[in-house]
Amino acid sequence: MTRLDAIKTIGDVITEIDVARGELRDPAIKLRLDDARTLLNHRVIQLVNVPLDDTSEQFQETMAILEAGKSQIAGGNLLPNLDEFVGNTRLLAALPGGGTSDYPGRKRKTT
Amino acid sequence: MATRSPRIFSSTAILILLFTGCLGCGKPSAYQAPVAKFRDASGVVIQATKVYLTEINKAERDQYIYKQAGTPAMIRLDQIEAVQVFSKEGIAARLKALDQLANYVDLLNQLANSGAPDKIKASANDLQTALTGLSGEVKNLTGEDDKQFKAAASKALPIIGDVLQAFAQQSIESALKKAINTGAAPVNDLIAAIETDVTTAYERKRTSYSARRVALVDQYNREFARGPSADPQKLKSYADEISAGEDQWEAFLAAQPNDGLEAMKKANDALVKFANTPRPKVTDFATFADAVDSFASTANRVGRGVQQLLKKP
Repeated sequence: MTRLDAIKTIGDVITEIDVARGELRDPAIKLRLDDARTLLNHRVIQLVNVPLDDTSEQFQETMAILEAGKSQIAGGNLLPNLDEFVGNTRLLAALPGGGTSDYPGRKRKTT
Repeated sequence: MATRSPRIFSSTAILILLFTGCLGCGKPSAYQAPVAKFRDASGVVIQATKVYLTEINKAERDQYIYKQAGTPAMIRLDQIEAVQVFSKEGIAARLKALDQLANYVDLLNQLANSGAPDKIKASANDLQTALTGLSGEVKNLTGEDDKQFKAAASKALPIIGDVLQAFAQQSIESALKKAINTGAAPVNDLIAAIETDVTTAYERKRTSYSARRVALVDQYNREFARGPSADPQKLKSYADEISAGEDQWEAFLAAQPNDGLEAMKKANDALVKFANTPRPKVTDFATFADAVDSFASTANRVGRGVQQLLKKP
């Protein structure tokens, strides 16, 4: 697994969010998905711009966690698994070379 | 990624081998067609790669714009500027590297198809001058995201320049030796770096397109939600936009630039194998020609997809 795989994995989940969002009518859930999308998108931009040691054991372990989370989401269980997936992407930022702050945007109360 | 990179420049040696080898075989037309096809297909893949690199910042801008439209929320110019990924200089350097790559492949085609050494030497000289200029530009790149490209390019460009100098000043055989011994590995790293960048660009474009799909569907659904007062003409127009957007999305998913680069690598491997066969049989030639045909087919698919992407939704 490489940094590019991480970008693809998160991109896959963003696409899942977009598809789900198009089918939803509940504004609160839409808002929740928008926030998750914004955070994941920010995470991808971090991965693009910040050098990250993708040969490390920690990176590989993190990718295994993210891949498992993506599989659960792709199986039609986006909402129950999304928060955990988003939370796990923070592990990437915590890796050597990947350390940047979380998305500085506004915080919104979500349902 | 380095192991997956296409070895375009190493095909210099191969084509020269084909060229020199076939001087004695009496049937130059047999290899000229696949080599020309290799050049043409490389051109398509290189062009497709350039489109993705050119569009990477547009993808980021569009994603922000469509997200705001979908929310809906205010669109701010400072935010549009803040979402750019590569610097303008970084993109320009990558595009120039791809241009020189195309010129290089064209030079190889000349080697295979022309018996005019003076013309080849002049082309090699021109290309060498262009590469020297590019080396200077690459040195000035400062972005974090440029580090990999900069490292690979700084290593590869001078070596390719040496190889070109050999074309211009030495015999083809000496140039061949130099290309085999020194040219392939650093050039592979350069192509790998571009491949990484273009994969990133593709992924960002995917996320941008995905955001646009949502915006188009939201636009239709908002009008639809007005119930009996919904404007039928607007609904039809929004539905048309969704339809066009979905066509582009479908084309986009089939136009992965990496497919083209990977196919190029396989065709190049076939060239290496063919050129290293001391007395190629008809079956060896057929295998080589099949690999080039396969590459050309993939290149056409990628090229068609990119053309579709360039259409307005």
